[in-house]
Amino acid sequence: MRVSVSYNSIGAFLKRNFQMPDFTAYARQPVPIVVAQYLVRFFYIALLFISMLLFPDWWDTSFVTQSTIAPFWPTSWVPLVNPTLAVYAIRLLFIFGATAAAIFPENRLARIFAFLGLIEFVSLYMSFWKIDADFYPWVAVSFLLIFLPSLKEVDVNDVESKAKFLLALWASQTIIVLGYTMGAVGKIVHSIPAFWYGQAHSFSIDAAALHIADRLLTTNSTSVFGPMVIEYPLLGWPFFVGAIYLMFFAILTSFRLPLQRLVGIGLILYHIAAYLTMNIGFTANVLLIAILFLNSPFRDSRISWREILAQVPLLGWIMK
Amino acid sequence: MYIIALLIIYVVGGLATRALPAWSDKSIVPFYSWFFFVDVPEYVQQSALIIHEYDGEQLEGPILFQNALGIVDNPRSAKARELIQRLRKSLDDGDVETSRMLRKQLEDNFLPLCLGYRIATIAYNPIERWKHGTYEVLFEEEFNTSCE
Repeated sequence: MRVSVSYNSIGAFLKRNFQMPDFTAYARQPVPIVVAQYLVRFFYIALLFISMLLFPDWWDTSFVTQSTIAPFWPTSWVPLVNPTLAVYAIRLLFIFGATAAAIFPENRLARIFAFLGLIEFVSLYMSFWKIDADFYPWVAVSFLLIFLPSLKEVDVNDVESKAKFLLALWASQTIIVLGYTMGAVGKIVHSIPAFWYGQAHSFSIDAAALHIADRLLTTNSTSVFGPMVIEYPLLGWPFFVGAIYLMFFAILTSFRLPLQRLVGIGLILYHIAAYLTMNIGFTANVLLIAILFLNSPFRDSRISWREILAQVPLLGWIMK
Repeated sequence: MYIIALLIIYVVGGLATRALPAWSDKSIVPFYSWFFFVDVPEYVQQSALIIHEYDGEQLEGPILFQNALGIVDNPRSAKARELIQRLRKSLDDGDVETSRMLRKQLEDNFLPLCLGYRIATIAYNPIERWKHGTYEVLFEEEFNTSCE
């Protein structure tokens, strides 16, 4: 009897907190699918911008041709061919793939080329310049969007295709918040043995100050507020713990859709704080969150702020 | 349903990065960086390149690579930091071939001619080092770049 009650409780908990959205219901409404299509177009427009922004004068390929560094696996073929032509090809693939997808986002082939151009360019960039995790979500989302159904000639009553389109966009949002939640899980899990052995952990008063100091020393840089937090660690503590809370529960936005905008704002502010203290930019990630979360197709303007806050973990429980 | 399957595969792949060696910072380019900053750096042991001689002249005090603007062209290069870290590990492992290869990559791409340097492990508390500049050198091996 006790085991049966536990299983029922677990099932009820999962059903209450991790229920998949009803994409068919959203597909029957006129607004979500239109917003979703615009977001996909904005994604590829932003990708086009990025393809031109990074290293605009990157036609001097000596950093590759004179390098003996082994590139990461997606570009492991570069040293096997003419490296100069390989770099040019990757850049052109990225630029024109992104252009094609920006103009024709409904075309799957264009989306495939955009993804290939992105993954090749990102790998080249990280192989010979620096590791920049900023672009990892872009690669994942670009891959997922390949699977969008075409709506170009779809019947307005084709609810199934619209639902699939919304599902693919939801999956793109989910893959972003998943990374944050797992990051928070890692911090929490690693805090347990550290706490047990009396070492500093993610909930220590000086955790933020230690992270900031180590980062600034390693990169030989400074920041606007970093030195202040290092000097007065208590200033950073509530923001650091708050960030862990925000990131830990971020995945819930995939199942509590009214939270998407609020969490999106929170994550953007988190990255701004990281930039102003640790000098870590993550600008591409901020752009991606802004595109996919600030005006999500699942947003319901009829829901009040109070109703939204009632869905915030822990806070909603306090409000009841 | 294949989109859900892709998400599940993504989760499994991300969790699998926990099995990666510690020196790899638990990331897979260009997909996963879930576990950055999970440990609070209270007592840090870090690979470092310490410059003690340049152009035939002994420096007044050893300089860390990242502080050596004017001697090296790109002291804040993340790729250089990565190579230093990997070189330190290969030296610790006694992997002569990998050490030779990494030294060549480092010297060819980031170090000037006629440089005397040490690949070291330094230890510090970040806040103390920030405030007072103090760190401890645990292990080091000395090398020189060619003068030709």
